[in-house]
Formats: sequence, structure tokens, C-alpha cells
Amino acid sequence: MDLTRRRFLAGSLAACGAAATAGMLSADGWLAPTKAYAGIGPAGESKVAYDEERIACTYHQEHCGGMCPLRCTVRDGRLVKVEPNHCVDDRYETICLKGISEVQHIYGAGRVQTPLKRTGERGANEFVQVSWDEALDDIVAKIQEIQARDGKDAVMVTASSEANFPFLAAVLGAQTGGNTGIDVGTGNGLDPAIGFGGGYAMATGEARDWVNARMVLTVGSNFCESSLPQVRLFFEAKEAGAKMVVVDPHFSTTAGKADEWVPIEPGTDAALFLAMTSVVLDEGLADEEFMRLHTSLPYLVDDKGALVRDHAADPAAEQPETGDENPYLVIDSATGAVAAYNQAGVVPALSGAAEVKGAKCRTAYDLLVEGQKDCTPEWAAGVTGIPADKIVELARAYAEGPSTIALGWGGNDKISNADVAGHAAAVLAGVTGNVCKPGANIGVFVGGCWNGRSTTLGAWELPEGMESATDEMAAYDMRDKPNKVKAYICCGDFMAQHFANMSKTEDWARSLELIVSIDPYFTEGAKWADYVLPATTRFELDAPVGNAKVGYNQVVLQNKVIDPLFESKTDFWIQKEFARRLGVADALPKDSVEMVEAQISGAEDPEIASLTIDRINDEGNGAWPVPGIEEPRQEFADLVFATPSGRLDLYYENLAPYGQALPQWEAPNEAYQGNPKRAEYPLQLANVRTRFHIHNQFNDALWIQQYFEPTLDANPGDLEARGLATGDEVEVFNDRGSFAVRVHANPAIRSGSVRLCEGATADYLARGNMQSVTNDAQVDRGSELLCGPVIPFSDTLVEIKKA
Amino acid sequence: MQLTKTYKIAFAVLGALVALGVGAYVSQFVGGLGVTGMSNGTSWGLYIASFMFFVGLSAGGLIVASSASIFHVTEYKKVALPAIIVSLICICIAGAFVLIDLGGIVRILNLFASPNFVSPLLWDICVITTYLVINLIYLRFMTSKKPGAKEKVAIVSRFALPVAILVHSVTAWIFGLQIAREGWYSTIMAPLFVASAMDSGLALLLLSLIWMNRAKVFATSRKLIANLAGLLAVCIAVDGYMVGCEVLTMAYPGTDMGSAVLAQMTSGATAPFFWIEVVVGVIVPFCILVFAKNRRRTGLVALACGGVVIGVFCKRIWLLFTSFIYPNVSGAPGLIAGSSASRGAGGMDGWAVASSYAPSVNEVLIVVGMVALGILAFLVLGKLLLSYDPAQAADDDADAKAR
Amino acid sequence: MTRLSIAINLDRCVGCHTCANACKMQNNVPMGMLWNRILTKDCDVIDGAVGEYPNLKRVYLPVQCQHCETAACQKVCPTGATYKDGLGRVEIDYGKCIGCRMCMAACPYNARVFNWEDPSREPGFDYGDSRVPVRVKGVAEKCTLCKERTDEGDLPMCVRVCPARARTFGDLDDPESEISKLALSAKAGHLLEEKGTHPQLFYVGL
Repeated sequence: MDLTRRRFLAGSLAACGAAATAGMLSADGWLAPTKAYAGIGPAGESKVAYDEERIACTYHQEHCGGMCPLRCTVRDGRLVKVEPNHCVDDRYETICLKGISEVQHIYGAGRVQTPLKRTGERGANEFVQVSWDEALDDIVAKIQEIQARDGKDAVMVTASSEANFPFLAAVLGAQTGGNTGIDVGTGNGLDPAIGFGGGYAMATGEARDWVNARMVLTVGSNFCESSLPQVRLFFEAKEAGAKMVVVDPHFSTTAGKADEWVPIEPGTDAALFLAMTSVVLDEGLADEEFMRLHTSLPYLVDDKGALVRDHAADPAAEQPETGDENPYLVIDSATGAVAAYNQAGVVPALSGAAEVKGAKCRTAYDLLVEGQKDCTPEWAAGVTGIPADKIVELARAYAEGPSTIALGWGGNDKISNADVAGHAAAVLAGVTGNVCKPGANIGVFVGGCWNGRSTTLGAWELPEGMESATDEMAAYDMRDKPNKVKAYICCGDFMAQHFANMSKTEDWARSLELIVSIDPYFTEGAKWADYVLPATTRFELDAPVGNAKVGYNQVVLQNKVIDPLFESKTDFWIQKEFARRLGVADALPKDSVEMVEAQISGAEDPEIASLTIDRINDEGNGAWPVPGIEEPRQEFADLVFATPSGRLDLYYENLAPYGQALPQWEAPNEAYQGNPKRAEYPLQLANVRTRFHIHNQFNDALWIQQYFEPTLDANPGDLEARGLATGDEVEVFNDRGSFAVRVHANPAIRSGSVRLCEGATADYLARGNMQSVTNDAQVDRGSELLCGPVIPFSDTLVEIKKA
Repeated sequence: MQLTKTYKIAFAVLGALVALGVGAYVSQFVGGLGVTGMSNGTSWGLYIASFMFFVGLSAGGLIVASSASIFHVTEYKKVALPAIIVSLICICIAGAFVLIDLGGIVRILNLFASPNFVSPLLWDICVITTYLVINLIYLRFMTSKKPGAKEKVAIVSRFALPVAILVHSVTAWIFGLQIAREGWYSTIMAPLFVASAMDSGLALLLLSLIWMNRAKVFATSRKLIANLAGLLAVCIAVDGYMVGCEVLTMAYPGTDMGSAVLAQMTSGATAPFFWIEVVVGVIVPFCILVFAKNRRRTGLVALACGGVVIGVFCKRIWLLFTSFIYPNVSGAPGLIAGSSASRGAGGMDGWAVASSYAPSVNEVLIVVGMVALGILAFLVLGKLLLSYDPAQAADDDADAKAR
Repeated sequence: MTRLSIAINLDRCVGCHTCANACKMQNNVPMGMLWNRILTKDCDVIDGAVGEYPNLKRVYLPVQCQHCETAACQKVCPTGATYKDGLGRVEIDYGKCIGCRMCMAACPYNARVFNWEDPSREPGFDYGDSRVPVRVKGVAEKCTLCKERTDEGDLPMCVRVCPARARTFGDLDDPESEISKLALSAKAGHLLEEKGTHPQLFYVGL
């Protein structure tokens, strides 16, 4: 080693003293004499020369739910190493290939380096560099012009989960896009039953609880890819003896790691759940006591499909009445009389009929049994492609319990009938009592930060009246329906990531007066913007701290790692500049540190609220455990649910007009077998998650590109039939549009389906955008669903041919 | 030295090729081995194939020359000097290819500072150096007019022959001792290399003698050429026999890797080289030379020799490269090429489940330059050391006829 | 004696390439090279499967230097640049490497990569651990078992980051270590055992 090469100065040690306390390399480490080697001729090695090295702690993506606490090494002002942080427990010391790839990614060619102003047609991708002042002045002037003419809510601001724009919409009085139609398919069906999950089907417990299960039935989830930082929980459960069964059309990574893989026809998860419920009911495997005491199945339903209650609801009431305020009626099994469900001493009968106020009423249970009559395993075998005896076997094993149903967002969730599947899963869990008991939970377990113990952080309070506008409709509907929005500020790639059937999105984009893209990276959506503003990545800050969030069982701080790169500015700075131009800068915190202080001090948990930024950094390396995390989170352990009646509400009165008060099989909108459209477009295009990307993020990360490029994976038979082979470039097309991509022959793919990972945009495909072909149909009951209809991205039929 | 116009043109052309080769090497020295077609999968290329080839070519000369002394084959003594010249030039070129192939030639002194005597490559470097020195000594004594030189030649010969056998064996052991490569790991590799060396070396010597006859540089009797051609026929047969043994041993058990390598050899990427070797390098020349009548027809002998030289070169190619195609541990995405710039591939294009190789222009220029240098050296040394004496050769032939 | 090694549990490996990226970062491995590759075993596309739908099998197989006891690469190295160190690791003294690539031909695992030219890095600076020597063109390199980290008692970076905790690091000569207990399990196996290189690295569920 050649010490003179190292320009390490004694002074610089002192200069980074504060950071050095965070655990910098000890002097012994790098000053120790290295082994002398007998190198003759110019040395084959040298040492990295540097002036200063320090450590900074932050966290990674919320978007995958990992929010890994990171320990970053900065050398001469540059991010050179990203490692898992030191945490209270090894299981929180997580990272994945995406976090590590940031060492290159944040310096990559994909970054927007300066503000850009459009010069060509929208979507033509022609821009000139402009100054921040010019860009912001122009944007604000244009917004003010539009708002003066059409009202404040003629502006819409949407921000993806990685963007940190809590103030922008409020400062502008803008709309915020309403329902997203993404990740809400299964939750729409599952969550009303439990009163939990927010429409996203969040699980009732943590994946840490899987070790208590006898069976974990994963349906429509690729947990081992989507939840990489928590993947060890899958193996802990498997090794603890839980039978891991994965139902998936494709032999996914998770399927490959499971004890058993059950292949299924895409979009038919609901049929599987329905048939399993039939088996449970027919074979007497149901948990009658649970159904009686903890579900709405004993409730009486009138001939119009409405639940019968103590008194008629006031149509003008702001809040629906709770079960206590207006009890549901049941039949008392002891007396046969109609009684309030919560009346002391009443043991509700599951089955029976009664006349209440002149209406013929039956129990929801009877309706369920009747509705299930046709949903035999044999019927489901025809729909799902799973042999009937396998369905029976699964049902028996599931009913035996404790069993968990692990759902996801990348499978049936992107099919039009996703809510039916979610609802059917709720019913299956309800009839077997596999809900909110050790080893028996239900929902999506992906994402540590959504699954762990949550605590609410405070928020900076804006002055009275400074608030976003009421949303007229969901942003995806604005493409079809008359609306007020003329200006759209996208913090993230909304154009290509949030809407299906891209040509419709493009037409809408052309009709807008102003589109602004704020993103660290130049995305597909940026091509449609009038101004593209370069935001910083999470590693770059102009202040010591930028944000606080609740990660997986811990509060994590976004500390400054490096200075903003290029001309990028922080989300906070951008909002502040908007506010300054609108004359309301004082309403915002003076800097992001003040904002984070408000978040911490306003935390719901008194222990968290008592913390300071310095304490979290000094004592916790920027991560502070949420109290009580020794035990996995378990919702509703008392079996009192957050529904109006406090029970598992399996009967959805509001869907009675659509015949879905109890889940009824409904084929996918487009991708069903037997669709005449299949004659022309025989292949379902599955649009799935991958460990390599988070939606479109990391498309441009060169260290990810080492292992991954978007390919259309297809069954070898389907390719052979078309004269195609691995590596060929194919055109993927239907009546909505087309794009081109390389194919891989992969026997893991179900014949009749082709698979492409999410976020495949034009810059990373041979030609065009995947979203050009995706289905944007909506189910009729959409408006009645908790979060509105799901966008059925994977409910798409295509054909492929050599490009 | 008086040069004819033909010589001048030849010198100019060869000189230009050498200059191009030097230029290509300078570019490789500056840019690294990335200018070649090699990659992490196929980590040896045309240089090492040429090294094997030239080591073999150098054999014929020395073996003929030393047999002359050791076994008192007086006939061979007549061509001992041109034989040694061919041998010397070929071994120099072979050694140069090893140096050209080194990515870290600036650190080469480590070979002497910290040699690892377990390394076959180190053995080879030692043996080649010894071989080179013997060649030089041989040449020195043969051209010496001092008394006693002949005896010294006889003594050197006794060392030269075993060293010649050893140099091919050790070269073979670079490959044959590597359990990592299915197509190399074989006991027969050393004898096979000796056989290949004998036939390609003899063929090259014959070609040189035939050319020198025509160009009136050095005269050799037709009888001697026919005699050497007969020896060549035997060597070809031995070489062909050993290849047959090797292929059968590889094919018979039907192991996965054995079958895969064999499939590539007989019908895959290296198949052209394999079949050229079998047909052009073994069958055709043997069929020609097995008949005594044909051995006396200079044209046919030259044709057969040309075939053998080409065939053995092809053999070096398939022998070297077939074993690089499939990594022992198979799976996607396979092997990562090396530097993305050198392979012109980023992202997933930098990987290959099966390795491939094609020499770059740079590599070809260097190899062509080295061959040109060899020919140039041969022309110069021939001019300097040999003299044309057709009378003696004619006497020999007359003697033969008379008998 | 000490024989440091890594055990990789293939039943747990999800083929995420986190270890590959972590190794690249820690060791300043240039573009176009990796010291640690994750193969989808016996497939010709990444994330493929062996068999025909629905009778399929998929094994992810991380391949890196196996730190063999009878290291073929070490035997053939003419200058002794490749050596077996006192902790049982196969290491390279880059200053001695003459770039002959004999080691690459000798390694049955294709574990080595070569600096075919001046290393190119994305981002365009030296990343990772500053204690790791920077290699120049013309030298071979490979997994060092994170020499700079394991010298100090830290875990190799691939072990540290593995999301599935599929990797176990330790001393095979310490009978109490987790890794030597794993080595005795029925499911433990070596890659290309028939080559006789006696890899110290081993796999569970190979």
C-alpha cells in the first residue's frame, strides 16, 4: 500500500468529527499496515484515495413497503456504499438489490438535471433547459391565469408515495385526483367485511404471525419478490411447519419456494374461494360458533336484499348508524323469535326465515348457502383449471386451521372481478373462523411498513382555509367525463403508470392547458409535460433532515446523505417556492427540519412524541422502534371488528342491486376463457410485480439492468405455435394499441397468458408503452365499492407476432 | 546479401504486415486485452491457439535434426540445418504468443521473483526457454567451422530430443491437467500433442524444403523428401489414431458435459474445425502419403503437408475452444462477458449461457504479423546460413535410382 | 487452523441478486463483471424453470469463488499471485498477477473475472469500501470472502445483506460454529464435488 496516495489529511478528521461519531471506519482499520507483497513492475492495485468519509442514515422506498433503514457511506461528498442500518433487531436490518443499486442510480443518466421546458408537441419529447426561476414563474403565472378564469379546482396535483408534497395541493387549492383505481381491487371486496385495510386489503396481522399457522394460502401474491425485505418471514413460517401453498397462474418465485404450487386460470381466484366455501359448508367444516357470534351471517335480510334493522335508517343521517344505535335483527335460536343481534342472552340462529314488518326475511347464512349451491368444486374446476379434489383438499386443510390467506396486488387484484375475489376470501375466512387469531389472518402481507405496528406521526398544520379542493372524480375518469381540470401537476409518472389504455390518456393530456412533471427521473409522463422539474432523490437534501416516516415497526428519519445533485431541488424547496410566489410562504414550515419536528412532536404515541431528531439519530441511528414491537401486530384479537355491527360483516347490503351482496362468480371483463375476443387476441397479458423494479422505478438503474430487462415471458408452446423463440422481438397488440418487446420462452408461464413486469415504458422496450394495450374498463358496481373500481390492467387480451 | 526483386517485394510486404502487427500490439498494450474477442467465458483465444500451433510446428525440425545424430540417420543430417532454423523460428514465435497473451506483461518479472513451480504454465516457460537455448546452441555448433563441432552436435542432440518431447507434453499439460474443462482433461493430451507436433512440424519442414528447392535456397534430394514424407504418413496415422481414442472415450460414457462438448465439436460451433482436421489434416494426407509412388511426387507431398498444417491448426482451434463453450455450472443468465465496452454490450446483453468467441481484427493482425515475422526470419536466416548445392541432391537421387 | 467459509441455503435463496449487487458495491467491482452471479439453474432464461408446465422446478444458484481447499486456480498460477491464506481464503495478490488467465481456465466454477481493459465504473468513481484495493487492467479478480471485512471480524457483505438470510458465514474448523454444524447436515453439498477441488463454500439443498 502506498500511503502517500491517500490524500487523507489529519484536519479532515476533525472536519467530519460529528459524522465520524456515527461509526466511521476506525483509524486502525485504514492505517494498519497492509501485507507487503512482492510486486515487481507497476503495481496491480492501488488504494482508493480520498479526503473524507462519513456515515449518514436514512431509509429507502416506501413504495414497496420495505422502507429499509439504510446506513450510507459518503466519501468526498459522494454516495459510495449503502448497507443495512443497525437496528434493535436483525430482522429490521434489511436491504435489497434496489437499495444497493442507488449507488449508481442516483448518478445515472436517467436523472433530470435542470428544469426543462417543452418546445415541441406534447409527447414529442422536445425540451430546452430553463432556469428554476423561469420555470416556476411561468408555471405559477399560468396556474393563476387558469384559476382566475376557471376556479381554483381547475388545477390538480397528484403525488406518488415516493414524492413528499404534503402542502402543494393545499397551497394551490387544487384537486388531488380522488380514487386511484390501483391496488384496491381485492380490498374493495375484503375490507368492508372487517372494517380494516383502507381498501388496500391490508392484512389483519403481521407476516411474523405466519409461524403460528398450519397453512398459509397465498393467492395472487408474489410475496418473495414483492416483499423482499421481509422474505425471511416466509421461510421462518415454512421452517416452523406452516404449509406454504401458493395459488398462481404462473410458477412465480414464491410458487417456486412454496411447499405446493396450485396453478390457476388467471382471474378466477374468486371461483376457488367460492368453491372452497361450498366444501366447508357441505362437509360441515364451518365454525358455526364463530359464524353465529362474530359474523353478520345470522342477520336477517329482507326480500329486497336489505339487512333488517331495529328501525328505518334516517336517509339524511351523515354517518351510518352503528349496530348499537340501530341493531341488526336475528332469529333467537332458543325461542325462534326475531331479536336484536346484541340483545343479552340471544344466541342467533344461522338458518331460518321470519316475517319482519310485513317483509319475508331470511338469514344471510341461508342466502349464502343457497348462493353457494352451484359453486361446487366440479364447477370451479372448470373455471379455475384446478382439479376438484385439489379444491376439496385445500378447503379441508384451510378449514382445519389455523390458516392464513395471503393476498396481493399483482395478480387477481388487477382483474375487473377483484372485489368479488376479496369478498369471497372474506366469506371463506368468516365461515371457518380463520380471522384474527394466532396463525389465522387475512389480507395482503406485502410491505413491512404497512404490516408492522403503525403509529401516527403528526403533521404540520396549515392555516384555516388553506386546503386542497374537493375531488370532482377520480383522475382516470377525467379522460372520459367532463371536468374542470385544466392544469395537472404530477409528482411522479402518472401518465404512464396510473392509467390503463394509454391512447386515451394521451388524448386527455393533449387537451390540458398545463402539465408539470416533478420527479428526480425523466419518466414517460415527463414527455407529456410542459415543464419538467428536477426533484432530488431521497439521498439528497439541503437541510439535515427531510422527512420522518413509520417504517417496518420503527420510525425512520430521512437524514441528509449528500447535497442535491445537478440542479435538482428538494420537494420541500419546490413547495416553498410555489408558496412564496403565491404569497403564502409563511404558512409552510421554515425548513424541512421544522416540518419533521412537527411530525415527531405530534406523534400519537407519547414515547415517539417525546423524541427529538438528535435523539433518534444519536441513539437509534436514525431509526426508533415503535413501542411494543416485540409482539407482532394483531388486529381485532378480541374479534370485535371495525364494522358498523362490530362483527365480520360478510353481507354487503349496498351491492344487493348488483347481485353481489354475497359474492357471486363473475368472469373477468375481458380475459376470460370463451371471450369471443380471444379469437383475435388469444393471450392474457399479465402485468405483474418484480423484485427488480417498483413499478417504473429503477428502470434506469444500471446495476439492476445487469440482471433484468423487460421481457415478455411466454410458455414455450405458445411461442412455438407462432414461430417465435427466446430473444425475438415481438409486437404485442390488441384493438387498443401495441408495443414491441423481446420474448423469453419460459415454461413457468401458463399457456394462454403472457407476462410482462410492471412499469415497462417506451425507453426500456423495443417500441411503445405497455400501457397502450391495457384494459381500462370499469365494473357497473364500481361507484359502490369502497375505493371505486379497480383498473383491470391485467384483464387484457393481446396477440403477439414477430416485430 | 544480394536480394532479388522478388525478395525485396516479399520483404516489403512481410515488413508491412509485421508493422501492422506491432501497431495492433501497441493498441492492445494501451487498451488492454479488451481489444481482443476474448471474454470471461472464453478467456483464451487465438493467441493461445497459435501458441499451441507454433510449439508443435517447431517440433519437426528439432526431432529430425537430433534423430540424425542420435540414431545416426545420416540422410537426415543433410537437412538438419534448415530443420533447426524452422524449429528455432517457430519456438520463438510460440513463446512470443504467450507474452502477447499476457494482460499484465508489465508485471512479468514476478515470474522470476515469486515463481510457483506447481504451475504447468511455469513449467512450460522453463521448458520452452530450455528448448530455445538448445536450438540456439544446436544452430551455433552446426554452423561452426571449428573442429569438434560435430561431436558437440551429437551431445546436444541427446538433450534436444527429450526436451522436444517434453516441450509438447508440458504444453499439453497446461490443458490436459485442468479438470475444469471436459475436453482437455485427458491423459492422452501429452502424447496427442507430441503426435500433432511431429506431423505438423514435419509437414512444415517438408514444405520449407520443397519451397527452398524451388527457390534455389537449399537443395534437398527427392529421395529424402519421399523418405520424410513416409515418416510423416506414420505420424499422421498416430495422430489420427489418438484423436479417435480421445473422441471415443469422451463419447462412450455419454455424460452430460461429454455429450454437450462432443455435439459442439461434431455439429456445433467448432464442428468445421473438427471436420477439416479429420478430412484435410488426417484422411486426405494419409491416403496420399501412404503410397510410395505419391511420396515421390513433390506436388502431392506439398499438398499433403499443407493439409496436415491446416488440419493441425484446426485441431488447436477445436481443442481449445470447444471446452470453453459450456460452463460446468449451467444456468441463466450464464457468464458475464467482462468489460461492457470490450464486448459492446450493456445490460443483459453482456451475459451468455453458452460462451462464444470470434477473434477481433486486432488479434488477427497480431497473429498475421507474427506469422509474417516468422517467414521474414526464415527468409533472412535461409539467405545467411544456407547454401544451394543441387549437385549433391542430384547425386543422391541418382544413387537411389541406380540401386 | 481456520477455514472461513459461507454456506448458502438454496431452499431459502429467492434469486434476488441482492448479494450480487452488494458484492459489486463493497468491492468496487467494475461494470461488466460480478464476483457473485445468481444462476437460475439449468435454465436458459433468468427466472425460467426446468420441466414442463405445471410440473416445474426452479433452483436459484449463487456462484462465487468456492474457496477450494485444493484450489485449481492456486496450483496453476505461475507467479503465486493466487494464494491460500491463513484463514482458508483463496486470495489474489494483484501486484503479482501477470494476467495469463491460467486460473480462469483452471477454475471449474467460472468464478473469476478479468480486467480486459481499464475498469469502467458506473457511477464514474470508486465506490464501496476504501480498504479494498483498486485493480488495474490485466489482472484477474474474484470473491475475496470480503477479506477487508472478514479480517476485522465483520460478515462478508453478501451474508450481511441477504434478505432471505440464506447465507451463513463462519469457521469450518470451529466445531461449535453454526456453519460447521450446517456442513454436517444431510442436505449439505458441494458444487461439482466430482472435480475434487474440495470447495469450502457449500450449499444446503443443492
